[in-house]
Amino acid sequence: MDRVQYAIGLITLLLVMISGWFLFDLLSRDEEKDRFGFRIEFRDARGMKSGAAVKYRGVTVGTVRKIQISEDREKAVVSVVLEPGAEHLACHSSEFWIVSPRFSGLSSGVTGLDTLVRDSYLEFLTPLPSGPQLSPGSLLGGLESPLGEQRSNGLDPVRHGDLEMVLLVPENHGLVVGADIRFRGVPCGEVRHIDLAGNGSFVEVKLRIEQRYRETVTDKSQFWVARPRISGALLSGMAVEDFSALLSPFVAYFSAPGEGLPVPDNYRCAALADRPSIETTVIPPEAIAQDEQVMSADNGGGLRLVRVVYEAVEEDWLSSDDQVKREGIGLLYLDQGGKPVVITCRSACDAEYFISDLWGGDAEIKSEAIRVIVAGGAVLRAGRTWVDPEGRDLAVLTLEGALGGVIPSATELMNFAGPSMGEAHSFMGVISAEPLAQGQGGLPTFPEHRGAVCLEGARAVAILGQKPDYPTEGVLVSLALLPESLRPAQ
Amino acid sequence: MKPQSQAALEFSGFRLGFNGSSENVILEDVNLELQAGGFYLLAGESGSGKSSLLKLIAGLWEEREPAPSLAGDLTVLGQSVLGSYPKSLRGRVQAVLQDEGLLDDLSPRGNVELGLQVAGKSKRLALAMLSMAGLNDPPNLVSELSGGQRKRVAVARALAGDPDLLVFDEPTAGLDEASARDMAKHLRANHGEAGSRTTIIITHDLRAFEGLSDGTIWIDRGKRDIFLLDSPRSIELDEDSPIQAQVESSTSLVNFRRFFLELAGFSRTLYQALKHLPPYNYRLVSRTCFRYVIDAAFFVVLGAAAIGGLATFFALRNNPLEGAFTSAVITGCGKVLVAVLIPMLAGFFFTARIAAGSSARLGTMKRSSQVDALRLIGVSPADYLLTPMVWAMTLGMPIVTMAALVSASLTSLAATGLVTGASSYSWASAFSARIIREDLLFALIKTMLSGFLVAIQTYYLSMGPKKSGGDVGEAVNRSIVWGIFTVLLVHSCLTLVQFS
Repeated sequence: MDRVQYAIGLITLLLVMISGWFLFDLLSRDEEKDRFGFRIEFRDARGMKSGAAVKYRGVTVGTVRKIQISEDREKAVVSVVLEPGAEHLACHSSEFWIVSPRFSGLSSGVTGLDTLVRDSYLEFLTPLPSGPQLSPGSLLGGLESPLGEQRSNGLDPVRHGDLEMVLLVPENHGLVVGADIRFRGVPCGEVRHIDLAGNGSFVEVKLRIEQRYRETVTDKSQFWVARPRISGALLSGMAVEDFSALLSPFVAYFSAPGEGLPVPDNYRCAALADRPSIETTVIPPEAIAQDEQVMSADNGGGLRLVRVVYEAVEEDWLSSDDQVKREGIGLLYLDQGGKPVVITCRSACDAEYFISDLWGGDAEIKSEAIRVIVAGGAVLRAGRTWVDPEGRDLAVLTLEGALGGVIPSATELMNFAGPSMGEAHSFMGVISAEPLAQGQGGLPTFPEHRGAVCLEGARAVAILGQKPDYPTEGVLVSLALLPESLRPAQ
Repeated sequence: MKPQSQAALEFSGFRLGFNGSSENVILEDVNLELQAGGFYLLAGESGSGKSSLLKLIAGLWEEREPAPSLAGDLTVLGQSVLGSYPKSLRGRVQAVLQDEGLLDDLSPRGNVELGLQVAGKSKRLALAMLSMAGLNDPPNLVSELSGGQRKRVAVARALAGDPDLLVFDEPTAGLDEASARDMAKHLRANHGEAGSRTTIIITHDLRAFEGLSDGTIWIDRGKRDIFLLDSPRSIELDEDSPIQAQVESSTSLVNFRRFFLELAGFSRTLYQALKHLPPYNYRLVSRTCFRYVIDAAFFVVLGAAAIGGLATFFALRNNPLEGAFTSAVITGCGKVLVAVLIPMLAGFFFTARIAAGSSARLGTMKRSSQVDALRLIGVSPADYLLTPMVWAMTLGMPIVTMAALVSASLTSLAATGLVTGASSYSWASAFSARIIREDLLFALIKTMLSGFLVAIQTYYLSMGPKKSGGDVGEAVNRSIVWGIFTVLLVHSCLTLVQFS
């Protein structure tokens, strides 16, 4: 009897150990290590919880592992893992959005009704042709509204990079939500919200400026509410300005060219009481030669160089979290699908590449943010969508949204054949248009000029990256390493 | 270095009574000196105080029994035993009790080996000691011994310590006339071999020892005195009759007071447990721990499996929005199962299984004089019984709880698959979504603390005076009830602390 009991206990313990191992395996296999994981940023996680499903055309293909607030507290970063076998569904050009109940007006009805009684989930779609594969750990920008209804409703949804700002006006003058915002007569956005504020002493009007016109708003911009005004009535005849405002008043603004600095989101600004007298009829003389100038002026020879600013927080178990910051130079161009992409050093945009934790293992990156600063100071968000699989210091960032007024590099100035030995090389940094001084070994000093573009004649052939295992030594990383699918259309 | 010319026993103005009332005085103003080296018989009518004397001489009087009232002095081997029993006498005074007190978790040989080990001698002497006591081929289990063989093992064990004073309590009881005479001769022969040992034999059967003794100590109940007679002359003894019925009846206490006494006793056991915490025998501790885990594993794992599966099944089935918020329901199940329910229920199951078993075992040991035997050999019952139990429960409870957590998780996974058909990946991520390291840490603390307290409680309840099998059963019963109550209390308090 005693022996039977002993055997039963021992067998039970053995079974428990086996199943414990199975459970441990199940729980730890769910970590991003073995499965394909990447991150997506949203302005609003819309109540989605970790553990929510990730669906592709309604089929669950992955799980949301965790949701965190980004370092700058402006975004929710959603970490996603895809089931084994579904990795190929997520690509460079995939669009992600969160499915939760949305009322998009009478015309297009209500979507996401199923999530009224179910958890919100993450849906994505990859348009065909699908483009290059994502690399694990990529950081992407997500859509704030489902892909299908982007422009179907009355108000355009706020997209990444759009400027949201507040205009304070003394009197509403009949503005309604949805009214245009115009710059030089061009609609650049709309009124999102109107309310009394300051105990009724003024009106707060929330504006959205589309991302591509964002640069036109500076801290020197003048805003006013446009309404019909008749000036110089009797003597000089009648001039009716802002005639269209007779039907629906709108918000107008004016920024003098070259003046002021771009403004951040939630910028507040007081409107002028009246339309200022601005001479807008004169085209600046230099504009006539604009096309040629852009090709040849700053950033040299039609290559559009940008600054890449990278911030990440590394999670440490024992010590407090480390914050790392890197800067580098990148080369902006349009890929085959017309998306703006930046080619730069991996060591300038991926903490996993240059940090390892105390025991030499992979660093656990809690959050990261990549910003691309284009000439003129406009700042765009970017996501890392490709890194060199061989571990060389080369990465491709995809910019969010449209480029607006920024002109990308002329593709004929990019040479993907790689640098040839005999040729003389010069280097281009973003700081000045002048060629960079070349130090030892014919390369500019390294950590300072990370990502500097190497020119052969007038064509870019390589960038200055980090020599593997030598954080302070530079080496040329050939553009020839870039896969065919990421190169610009030739 | 044995003091030669010392008295083995010396009574001077000795008085023995119970509860201080004059009616219960058993011995009064006894003055007697017993020379060392003799082979004496101790006889007297029933109720004349033979057992009480044995307890006093061998140091078996327990704190939790009603204390006798004593006066004068009684010295054993030159040391007074009326206060607390002198430690230096342990091992020098041995007794073979009427029901032997063989430790039945050891083999007969193991019993003798334990005696040798405590006396600091080689264990290899055990077989020789047994054959000297007349047992040549001991079986492997104590339960396989006959009545006479039990006595022989007990004698061998007592002799292992090479005592200066050896007391036998009714060594010939239950033996027929011829065997009794053999046993008596054997004891006398043994005595003759040792130089200065004093042997005292408590017996009714004076005839068996006729011509063998150096004198008879006669307790005269009527005169309340003790005499040393040269030979047993015309002493007529009654057969066994119920002993000391009058002593127990007057000890009922007011419940309130008894509660505090129990509390004090418990605190004393707690103090004892802490004092004896470093194990004196690591193998004993690890063996006990292993046995507790093995014994409880099946029961606990099965119970946890049922709870994990049923909880998840009914939570998912009774979700008012059928098919919706599944992951939230699983997350809730995971948190409550891992952080609260399973550790507590595993504690209940473990207590029910192990505390009951231990309590029954300890109670039986207590009742069959095995605990007294341990004391006589010179092993502290706290070291031999309490310390392994405390360690085994404190370590076994968390181990078994971890096993329970695994089995509950598995059945929760199975129930999820049954009700929703979700994949094991999504179950795993939902189930573990809210479980943090602190939960496991608290589960560990809760189970260890409750295991520790349950062990002490069980020991305390089982080691109380055991007059009958009913007392043992009662102790088992109380061990389970109080054990489960303790587990509930510890878990509720710590869970409250964790989540407030």
